[in-house]
Amino acid sequence: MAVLLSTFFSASLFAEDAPDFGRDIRPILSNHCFQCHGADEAAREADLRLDDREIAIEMGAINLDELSESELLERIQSHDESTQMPPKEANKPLTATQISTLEKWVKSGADYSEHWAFLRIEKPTVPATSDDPWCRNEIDSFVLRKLRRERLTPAPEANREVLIRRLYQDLLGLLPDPSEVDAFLSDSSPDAYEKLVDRLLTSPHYGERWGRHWLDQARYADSSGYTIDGPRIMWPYRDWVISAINADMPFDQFTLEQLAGDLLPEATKNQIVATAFHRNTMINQEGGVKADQFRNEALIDRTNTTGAVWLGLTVGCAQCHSHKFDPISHDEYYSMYAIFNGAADSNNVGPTVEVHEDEIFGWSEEQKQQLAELKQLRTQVPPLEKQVKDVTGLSTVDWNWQTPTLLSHIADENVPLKKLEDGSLLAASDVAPNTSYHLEMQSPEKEKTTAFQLTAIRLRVLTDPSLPKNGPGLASNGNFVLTNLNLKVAGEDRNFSVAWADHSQPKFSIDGVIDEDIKSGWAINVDGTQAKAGKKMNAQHEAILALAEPIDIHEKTVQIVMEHNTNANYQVGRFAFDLSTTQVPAAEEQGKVKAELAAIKKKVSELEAVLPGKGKAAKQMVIKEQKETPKTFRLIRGDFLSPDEEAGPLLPTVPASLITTTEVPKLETRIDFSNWLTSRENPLTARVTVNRVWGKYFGRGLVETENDFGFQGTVPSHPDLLDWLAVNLMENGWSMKSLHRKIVTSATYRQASDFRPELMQQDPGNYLLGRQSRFRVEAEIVRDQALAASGLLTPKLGGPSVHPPQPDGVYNFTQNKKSWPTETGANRYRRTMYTMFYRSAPYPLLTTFDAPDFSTTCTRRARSNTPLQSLTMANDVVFHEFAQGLAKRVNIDESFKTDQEKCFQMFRLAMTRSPNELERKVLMNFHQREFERFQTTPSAANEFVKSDLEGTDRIRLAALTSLARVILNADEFMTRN
Amino acid sequence: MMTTEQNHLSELQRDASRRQFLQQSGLTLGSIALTNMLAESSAAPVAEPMQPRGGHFPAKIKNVIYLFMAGGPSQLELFEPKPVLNKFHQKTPPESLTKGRRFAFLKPDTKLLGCERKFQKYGECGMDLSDLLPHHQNIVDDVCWLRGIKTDVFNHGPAKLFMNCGFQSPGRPSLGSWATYGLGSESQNLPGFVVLQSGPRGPRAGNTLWSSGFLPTTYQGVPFRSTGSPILNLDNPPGITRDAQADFTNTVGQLNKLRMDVTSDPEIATRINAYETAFAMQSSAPELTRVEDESQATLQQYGIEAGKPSFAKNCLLARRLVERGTRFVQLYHTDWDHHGGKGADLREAINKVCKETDQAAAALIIDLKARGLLDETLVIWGGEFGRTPMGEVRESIGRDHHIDAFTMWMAGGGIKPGHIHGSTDELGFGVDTGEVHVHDLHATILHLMGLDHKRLTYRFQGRDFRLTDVHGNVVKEILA
Repeated sequence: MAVLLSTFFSASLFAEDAPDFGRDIRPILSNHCFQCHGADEAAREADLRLDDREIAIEMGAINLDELSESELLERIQSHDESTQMPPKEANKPLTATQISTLEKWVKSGADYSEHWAFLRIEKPTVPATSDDPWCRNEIDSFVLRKLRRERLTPAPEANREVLIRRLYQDLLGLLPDPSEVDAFLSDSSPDAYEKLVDRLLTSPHYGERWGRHWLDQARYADSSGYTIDGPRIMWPYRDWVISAINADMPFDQFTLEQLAGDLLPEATKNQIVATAFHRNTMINQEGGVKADQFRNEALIDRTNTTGAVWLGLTVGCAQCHSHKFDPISHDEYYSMYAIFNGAADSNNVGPTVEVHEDEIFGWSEEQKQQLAELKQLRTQVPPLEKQVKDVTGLSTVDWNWQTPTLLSHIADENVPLKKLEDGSLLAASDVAPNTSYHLEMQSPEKEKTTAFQLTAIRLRVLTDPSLPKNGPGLASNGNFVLTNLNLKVAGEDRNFSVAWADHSQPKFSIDGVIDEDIKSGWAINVDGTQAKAGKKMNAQHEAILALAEPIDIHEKTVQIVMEHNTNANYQVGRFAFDLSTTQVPAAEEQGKVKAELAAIKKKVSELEAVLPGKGKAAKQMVIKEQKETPKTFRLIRGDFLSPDEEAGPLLPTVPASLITTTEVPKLETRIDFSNWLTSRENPLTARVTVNRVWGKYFGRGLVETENDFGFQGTVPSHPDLLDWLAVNLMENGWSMKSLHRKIVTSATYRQASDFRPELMQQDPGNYLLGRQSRFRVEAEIVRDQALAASGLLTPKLGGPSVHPPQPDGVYNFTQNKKSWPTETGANRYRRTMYTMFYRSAPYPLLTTFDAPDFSTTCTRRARSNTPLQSLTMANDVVFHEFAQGLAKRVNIDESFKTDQEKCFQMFRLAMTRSPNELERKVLMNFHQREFERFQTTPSAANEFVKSDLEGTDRIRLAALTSLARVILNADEFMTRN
Repeated sequence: MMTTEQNHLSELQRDASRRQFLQQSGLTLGSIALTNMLAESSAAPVAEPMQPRGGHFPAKIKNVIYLFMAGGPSQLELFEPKPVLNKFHQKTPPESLTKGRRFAFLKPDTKLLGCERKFQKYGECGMDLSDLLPHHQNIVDDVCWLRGIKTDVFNHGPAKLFMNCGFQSPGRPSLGSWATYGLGSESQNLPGFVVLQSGPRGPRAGNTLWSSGFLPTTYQGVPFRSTGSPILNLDNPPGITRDAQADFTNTVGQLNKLRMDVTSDPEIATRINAYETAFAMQSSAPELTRVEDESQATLQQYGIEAGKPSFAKNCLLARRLVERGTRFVQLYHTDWDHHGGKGADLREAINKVCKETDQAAAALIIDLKARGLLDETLVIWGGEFGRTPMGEVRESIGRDHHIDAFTMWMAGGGIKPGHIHGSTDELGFGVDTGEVHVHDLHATILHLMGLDHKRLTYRFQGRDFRLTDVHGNVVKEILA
């Protein structure tokens, strides 16, 4: 809004005689002239530069001898199309006001001054207004001075209910509990407010609230973006941000760790995780993409994001050519790019670091020890498992398998099993569900005359064209579950000691066939890993079962019963048995190993149960330098295929116009760069940072174009205040909590936000801060406040992202369906910032309430007010659930006896104040109408509310819930007053 | 409108619109001097963000229906018979033609692939159509054929973004967002920019294709679901009747009005308005999607099977949307990505996707024309790029992505009907005459809507952004 605001300021609020170059003139020149007469040598016309006084004079645009005859004036005043400037085709005509401003400026000497935002920040003197009783701190002195100049007074302080609600919303993004409100209201100590501020600044939710603001700038998301948009693990970085902000990590250190944590001497894991700030760039996972192209895209994004976040500049304009408006040349852009060009990742996952859940917040020594132990134990499991597998030895024995003589073969109820030519048995497809098979057999024909020391049997399950999918089982997919196999010799039970199968479905091991549990059993489906390893379900498989003791079956009958106790129709389809007399390997050894394995597994699961996230590590993408940094060339027209190699490689540096020292700072590494960003001499970082913080508290920064501190940006409404805050931040060791405290304890912040008719004439936009602002809270906070009011909130910090309920059909419009396992437990009610964020299809609530898709950095969110938002608040299943939560919360609270008391309490929980007379009427009338409606139609009440509480009066609860819904939809609920 | 300066003023439009709303609703704001909010903006149109307004000059059309053929239809199988290509089937193309071109999957020495389709000339314009598009024969003289379309990027996601937003990375506003930003929408009870989807899956790049980028989210496309309620959260919670919802809306409004009395915040009036519109939308959106209200003849004309989501149904919905005043409707149909793999070949698969789209696309033109709507509507048909003269042989035959020459068509007000614009070389590598770059296409579409692509700007991060960036020329040759 550069033009409008600058003329607006100069015309009304900041009227002074001679136009100020930075405030009044440069915006006009920049907007209307620099495109052809600015820094971009390629676009320059007639060799004239108007951004450089010397050249403007040299070329005759400004005539120092006869100022009023300067050609610049002649051209802008001309009505002749052939000489008129700006030319008609540029479509950038000057207004009459602008022309007269330029006239005044030229006639008064055409003084140029350096752009305010590129000058070193000097600490201004606090105005003498500080003795006014209204002023609580330095901020107020600056604000009051400006108000007084316009003969205005500040607004009265907001009442305490508004103040505590405002502080909770701004500092935590949550609503205060009534008990907290009562405590504050009844605290008569003079520093009650300051005590509250201090308490909130130590709340862990403060890190979530202000962390979320930072994550916007970090373009944090849980997916890779572009077309495939697969999920990625970045939540440890998100937790790092929360943790660092809660710890009040100084902003210079906060900057350093994110931009160069990996390069710090003996970097900690947290510092390496912090570098993920610049791994939030997108990865194009589409087939046929060229990695070099998208590596370049990521580097461009890192350069632009750094420029936007720390410098408040649109450096990206210089990607294709020198910046038209700001003094950033094409070369300087790629010199900044060179700072990041060493990164090893190239449109891929690249370097990662292993992080455990909650580890970023700091694990206790005990937890660390437990993890070490767990890790150690885990390494023992695979060899033992292998040993256990081997130790049965059954697969390696050279068995003398022999075919038994089958005497009978039937299923339950005497249903026959068909004997095929090869001696195998086949069940008909219509055998009874869960039927058992009963076989009788004797020693093999040729061994009939001698002793036959049976040591083991083999069960082969076979495919057959008559079976579903060729079997071997009767289930529709060819599977089966054999739950038990009992063997009797001459009517006496014989136990198996150990069993082995060539393949078992996960969790359906062959052991289930010989254990005590009649429900556990052997099945043969394959999971992904097994499928990859070439395992198939619809193929022949075999199991070997060893007897605990050998037994001579000479002239004895062997009876085998195969049970199928679980899934109906999951019987074996075709199978055969073989018998052996080969000696079974010793059982003792295997028993010992098994016991050891079981003990370790038990310990593993015990440790997993106490460690966050079961002690599993997540691999998070981080920045790492390549061994050799690629050379950086200027890219002609920004095309990565056109490096300007002739001009030679560019070394890392920053635009010269941003350097306020005579000596050019050393900028060899990202550490140097980061230190330069937060050095006392940097003209922008502190200003940009305090301005963004200010904007969150007042709905707008002191510099309205918070993302453009360049020539095109607006001038600050309170330049001295901005600089004072910036210097104060640096002097306070970049403590952000001190900055927050300074702002929220000011009288300026504590003003009421009601519109003041007397200000509407002079300052309708509230640039002078004669009141606080009212604005809708951000998308996440809309839901978080409802969680808080309804008492459903799960306050846990951090961890992997979660999946609260969302409407169906969100992925109709994406290339891939995304996995969205809707949470049913406590994670359903986590704060919204923990919601899994897919860039190609964000959680709908977020988009509806103006959250961007985080393809690129977001330094300020838009704030819209649309019917789709109304539909969400009114009808989304999530908010329906919150309305029920709010109603239930007051319904079970016995301190509120009547429905009326309950209704007012709901209002208070949501608005942090009691309803006034008129509001009470509206609330109770609606409640009465709904109560009657539900009474007439109880079925509607049953549909509308779910209650698991015995004896709940559904009608009453439904009427309360309906009113809760109204309350959560009121403008005031989603507004910060 | 929408010069740099006025662009700033548009932010103040909301204030003005609140005033308008307050007047309409009989509410007052006491002594607040709202006129002062507009001190600098007397020329600014007084409107809600979506209130209909005029462009820079009189428009030829009111609304746009954009049939986005996602995946990249093969111009060589549909619109461009190339006897020379057939002659050199299985030959390596001369290096002079492939040098400097980049392909997603192909090596430059890949062999040419002749076309197996039969072509014939149709209509007075004599446009070539293959046997894959029999229904297109019926609209051949209503449509303007653009044979020389050119784009910059050859991967699906970036190319779709480029075709929609004029830029290959996410973050810029799409064509539909620019259109509603410039013109608002005639319908206040339906979204001004609607996106419909058919085919096996959503288009690559998802919602970034209809993103409002840095424009207010009010202007982003609203995807309609193909089954159930078209818009998310359109249905009341269970147990809430239409009457109860009316009572709810009124009661919320009463509380809001009381609050407005205390705070005098005009934003509250906007909120009240939003709730009333939402309530209206709850009945207007389902009414819109009741295609069964249409005559049997119409349903047959489009080829709609009852109760089944399809491109055909979406075409009819598109007509119903523009009838009701929606400014911009975009239909995505997947999948035209015929590389030659299983289910993605230039024999069976392309035949299938043509059957899914041919009849309804033609029916849409005929239906709009019969209802007198074609004069005020622009229908656009095309993908994010075309396909290479060289073949890809996977399980069957296919072609790679081709950005240098492909075909699209447009029909409607202000566009020459039955006109063929542009031609390509004998093998279909490049444009010979009548090249239309994506930026030119955008400039032309905006022009038809009464918007000057150079003046439709938005100030963001210190720069005035345009859909066409610093490029784009209106294609005068195709204007009627």
